[in-house]
Amino acid sequence: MVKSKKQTQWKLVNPEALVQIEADQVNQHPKDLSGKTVVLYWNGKPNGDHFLNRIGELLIEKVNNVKVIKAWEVRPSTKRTDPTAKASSATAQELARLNPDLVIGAPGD
Amino acid sequence: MELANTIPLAEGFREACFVQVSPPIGMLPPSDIKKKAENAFDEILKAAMDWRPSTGAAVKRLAYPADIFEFSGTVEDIHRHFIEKKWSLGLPILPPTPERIHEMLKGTGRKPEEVLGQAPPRMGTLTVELAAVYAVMAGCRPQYMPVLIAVLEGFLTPEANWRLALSGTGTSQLIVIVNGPVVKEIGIGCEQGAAGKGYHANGSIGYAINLIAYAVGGSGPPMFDRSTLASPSDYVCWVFGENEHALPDGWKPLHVERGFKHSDSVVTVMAGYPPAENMDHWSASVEEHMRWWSHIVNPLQNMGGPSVPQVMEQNPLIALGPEHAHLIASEKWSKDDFRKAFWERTRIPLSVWPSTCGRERLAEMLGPVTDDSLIPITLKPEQFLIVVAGGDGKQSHYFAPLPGSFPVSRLIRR
Repeated sequence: MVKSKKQTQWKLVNPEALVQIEADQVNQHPKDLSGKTVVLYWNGKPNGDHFLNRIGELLIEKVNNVKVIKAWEVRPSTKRTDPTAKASSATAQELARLNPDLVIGAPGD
Repeated sequence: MELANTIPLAEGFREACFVQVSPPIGMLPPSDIKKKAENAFDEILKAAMDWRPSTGAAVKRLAYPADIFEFSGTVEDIHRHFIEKKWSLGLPILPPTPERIHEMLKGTGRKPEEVLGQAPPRMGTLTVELAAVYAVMAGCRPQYMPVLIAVLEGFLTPEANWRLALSGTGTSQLIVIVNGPVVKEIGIGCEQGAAGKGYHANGSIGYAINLIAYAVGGSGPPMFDRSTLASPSDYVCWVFGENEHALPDGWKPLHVERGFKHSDSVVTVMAGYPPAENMDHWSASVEEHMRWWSHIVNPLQNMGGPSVPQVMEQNPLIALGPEHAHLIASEKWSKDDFRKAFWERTRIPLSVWPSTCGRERLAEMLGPVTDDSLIPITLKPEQFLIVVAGGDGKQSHYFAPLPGSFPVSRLIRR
């Protein structure tokens, strides 16, 4: 960049945006998963089911009396890649109806 | 991971617990995925039981008025400072002095303290004043402010899914179509090369939108914009007026089709993919022209069909060049006739998709399907948005919508 020689004193408006939203506090995770219900949530993206299937197997193998529910099997409507707020809220409500103590999801690709 | 942390924020929660598994996940055999799960399991189990939500208080600062600070240096120094602070995309800006902001705000009757919304993905608070700041930086004129505000309100509507457009891996394009008297009043380009260079209103509004997306929404690579390649459209987005004077007899402009009056000035915004171009110079009949379309456009362009069946509920945009529009109308076709033919001709067999794309949801939407079933782009022909855009030349454009982004129209208020 060619620099002009003219130095000036400026008053400028700071364009930094405030990042502050009224957000709800999330629940604590259980301290122990024994006897608890863990819902596995797959949004339908490729291979997320294979990943969560194995996580479910390992949970049952390593945690006493844990109940694992695969949401996509019992609530197929949760298996969707629909990135709208409306769909997201509907999915959350579907998952809540399964009464989980914890939800483990695999949202990425 | 930083992007993942914006997901709960966008949904109204402060945070969520994440464990990162190294990509890729897709396009790998199940045995590889199983191994990735085994490698991540201990960390997932630990996070499941040990993670605790933070208890810290939220930051306290007012969104309005914006702070004013003193700066000593040249225009180039300001430019460099703004780039370093991530307030600028890197293209030249006009320094946002209080006097310039004051003048810019004269272009709107809206109060500067009014909050237009939270710009995703990091949910930066966007006031009318802050919109004016970026309008100044982008070189807008005060009379563009009502259009810019209407556009921002449109993109801030959840249906537009601005968040995905600014953070997903696809090559998303923000698209703004302007209709009504405002097009002529402020000089929005709507004829030859309307979406391109030389139209100050289109260019500066398109630049301001992306400055806001970057600096207020935080959409810059690698975080939070995860676009694999992205495009120059991330600097200046698509802004063009519909060429209403070139509409064939009986064809309504977009805003009237969407329920507004002819005399209303309206913006329609959506996010889509880069357009597919139809450069049909040869067809002498609509039949030949439709055959041309049928080989250019199909449901794969936005992961339709079984890949993401929900996109079939969305609204692709077809921007017909005036010459193509008049060829279609020459055989007395209405817009609806064109929509119906377009819908039929652009279907492709289900066998095109990999077998890994589940068909259950598709079958729920379309009924029983087989490999030979023809899969359309949309559920119904009337979902296609059609505008007549641009000037001379045998060129039309098809914009596939970004998954989850629906068109939003907003009346422009002075």
